[in-house]
Amino acid sequence: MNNAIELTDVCWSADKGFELRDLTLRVPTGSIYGFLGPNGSGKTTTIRIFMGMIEADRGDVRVLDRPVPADMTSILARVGYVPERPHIYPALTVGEQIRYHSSFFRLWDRGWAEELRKRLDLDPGQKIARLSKGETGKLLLLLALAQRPALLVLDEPTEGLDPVVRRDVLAAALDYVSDTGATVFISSHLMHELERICDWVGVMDHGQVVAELPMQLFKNGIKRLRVADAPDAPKGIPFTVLSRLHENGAGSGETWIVRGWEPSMRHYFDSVGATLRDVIDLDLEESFVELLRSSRPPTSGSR
Amino acid sequence: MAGHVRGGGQGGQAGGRREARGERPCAYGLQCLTVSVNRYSSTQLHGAVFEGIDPRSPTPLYEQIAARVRVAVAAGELGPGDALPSVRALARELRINPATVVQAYRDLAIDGFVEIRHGHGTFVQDVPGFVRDEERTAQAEKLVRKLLQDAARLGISAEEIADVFAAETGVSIRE
Amino acid sequence: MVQPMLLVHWKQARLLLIPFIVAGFGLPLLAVQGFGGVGDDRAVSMEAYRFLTSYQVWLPYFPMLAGAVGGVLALTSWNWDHQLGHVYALSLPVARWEYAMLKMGAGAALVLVPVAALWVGAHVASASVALPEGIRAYPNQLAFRFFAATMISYALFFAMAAGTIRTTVWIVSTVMALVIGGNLLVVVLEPYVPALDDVNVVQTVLGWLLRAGGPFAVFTGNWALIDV
Repeated sequence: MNNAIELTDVCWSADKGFELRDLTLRVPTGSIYGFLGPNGSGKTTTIRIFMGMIEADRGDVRVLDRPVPADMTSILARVGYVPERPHIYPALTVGEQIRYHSSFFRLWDRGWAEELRKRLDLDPGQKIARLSKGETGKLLLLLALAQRPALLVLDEPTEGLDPVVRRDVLAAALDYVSDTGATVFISSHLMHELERICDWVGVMDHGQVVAELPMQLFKNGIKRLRVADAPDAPKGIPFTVLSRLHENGAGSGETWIVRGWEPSMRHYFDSVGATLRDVIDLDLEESFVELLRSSRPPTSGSR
Repeated sequence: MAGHVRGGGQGGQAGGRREARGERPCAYGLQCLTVSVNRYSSTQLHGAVFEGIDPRSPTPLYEQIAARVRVAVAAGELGPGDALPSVRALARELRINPATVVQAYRDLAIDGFVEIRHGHGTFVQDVPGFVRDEERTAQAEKLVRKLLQDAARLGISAEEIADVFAAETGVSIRE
Repeated sequence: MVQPMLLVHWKQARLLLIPFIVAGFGLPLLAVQGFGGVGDDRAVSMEAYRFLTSYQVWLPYFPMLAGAVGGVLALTSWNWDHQLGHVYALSLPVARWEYAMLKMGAGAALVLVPVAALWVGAHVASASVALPEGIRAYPNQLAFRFFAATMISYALFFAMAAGTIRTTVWIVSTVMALVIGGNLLVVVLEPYVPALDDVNVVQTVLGWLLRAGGPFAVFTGNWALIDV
C-alpha cells in the first residue's frame, strides 16, 4: 500500500457556493503529512470527506487502501481521529469516556491507555465538561492513540493549547509513530511545529490542493532573490517566478519570490545580464504565505 | 528578514562545557550566543550535542543531526562505544519525525561513524584519527565560508575580518 | 459495547427516570383510591358499578403516561449526539444501523424500569383493596398493556429523534397536510358527490391507527385495572 489516503479528482459543492474542485491528494504511508491552508480553504471539508462523514459528489476516495465510504467501518477501526472541536460527551467522566470508546475497538490497548492517562496527567474521575482545553485535547489524543490506529488524523490538534500541553501531545504522537510507523495526517496553522515533524506537506487554497511535495523540497524550493539589472521580460527562466517587486530607494534592485529554485540556477542571471545579489531562505511560514499570495489576484493597494 | 544561520558544527570544545544557543536572530542574522558554563553533566552530554537544531534552515534536519554527531566524534566528545540516544528518545526530545532520526543514523552508519545494532541501539565506532581531523577541517571550512558570506553581505572586507580576528584571538592571519 | 452504551443512556435520562418510576408505581395506587381497604365493611356494601365509575377518572392517565415514558426516554437517548453534531458516532467503527440498534436496545432497557414500577404498583394496588362481587383486578394485563404502549411510543419517537429535526418536521407536516388537505377536499366536494357524505378523513385515519389491529390500538384499549 503506497498511500494511506488517496483522493482523486474529488468534487464537492455546498449550497452556499463553496466548492472543492478536482481535488487530488496523496498521503504516503508512514509519512507525517502536514496539511496547510488558510481558513475557509476547505481543509476540514476534505478531512470530513475521507473520514466518510460527507459524501463527495464525484471522484475517488481511498483510505488505507479501502474505498470510502463503502468500507467505512473497517477503515474507521484503523483510523484515530482527533477533530477540531471536541466530539465526546461532556457529561461523562474521563474514565467512563475511555471505557465507552474502548468498547468499539478490538485492538484497544488497555495497558497503554492507562499509561497514557497517567503520563498525560488525566484524572479518571473528572467530568469532561470540567476539563480545561488542554486536558480535553490530551484526552482526545489518548482516545485516538489507544485504539492503535494505522492512520492518525489530527485536525488542529494543538490549536489554543499552551506550549507545555502542545509538547505533551506531540511527544505522545511521535512516540506512537516511533513504535509503529503509523501514518500521521495533521492539519494545523502552527507552522513551526509542522516544520519540525512533517516530511510531507500539502497546501490547500480555495478548494484545491495547490502544492503537495516533500517538506524539504517545499522549503528549499521557495526562495527570495535579490536581483539587480534584470530585464523586464526575461526568457527561458528555469524556475517559477511567483512575484517581482521593485525595491524602493536607490538602484535597480528587485526582490523576486521564486519557486523550484536550485543553486545551479544562479548562472541564469549571468546569461541575461542581471546580477543575483542574494539568495534568502524562507521558512515554512514565509514560503506558505508567499505561495498563497502569489496565487491570488492582487488587491489594490497591497504591497 | 535575513536568512538564518545554518545549524553547523559547534567546533571543538572540551569536556562538559557547552554553549546554550539562543534561538532568535540578532540584527545581522547571526545567532545570539549565551554562554553558560558546565551546565551539563556527562549523562546529558549527548542530548546537548543536538541542541539548537534548526528546522527553518534549508539544511535538512537529518543532515544537521548527522553533522552534529560527526563533529562531536571529531572533537572527541563522543568516544568509541558511546551510545547515541534511541530514535524514539531523540525524536521525542527534538520534536521531530522519527524517520528523520533514522535517516541521520543510517547516514552515519554508512560513513562509518556509528554502528546500528538492532534491538540494542546505535553506538559510536572507533573512527581513525585522520577521519576525525578531516571532519574538523571540513567544519572549520564551513564556519569560515559562512563568516565570509555574511561579511560580504554586510559589505565587510576580508581585511577587516582579519583585523578583528587578530584582536579577538591574538592570532594573526596576515602574512 | 452494550454496557457502556447503557451507562451513556442512563446518564442522559436518569433525572427523568425518577419521576417516571414514581408515577408508574403511584398511578395504580391513586386509581384505586375510591375503593375501600381490605376488611372495610363499607367497601363490601358498595355496588360494583360505583367502583368502576370512580376508576374511570384515572383511565386516561395510563396511556398518557405510557406515551410520555416512551417518548421522553426516546428523545433523550439522542440528545447528546444531536448536541455534538453526530461527529462522534460517525467516527466510530460501527455501521449506522448497528449503532442505532444498540442505542435502541439500551434505551428500551431503561424504559423497562418505570414499566416494572407500574407492574409492582398494580399488584400492590390490587392486593390492597377489597373488591365486591363480580369484579376483579387485572394487574398483569394492565402492566402488559402499559409495556406495549410504552414500547410503541418509544419506537416511534426513537425513529423520529434518530433523524434530523428537518426530516422529522418534514414527515409530520406531510402527514398532517395529507390528512387536513384530504379533509378539506372532502368538505369541498361533498355537495357534488353525495357518496362523500359519510366520509371524514380525519376520523378515518384515526380509526386506521387506533382501531384494533392498527399500530396505536393498544392506547385506546382497556386500561382498567379493576374490571368485571
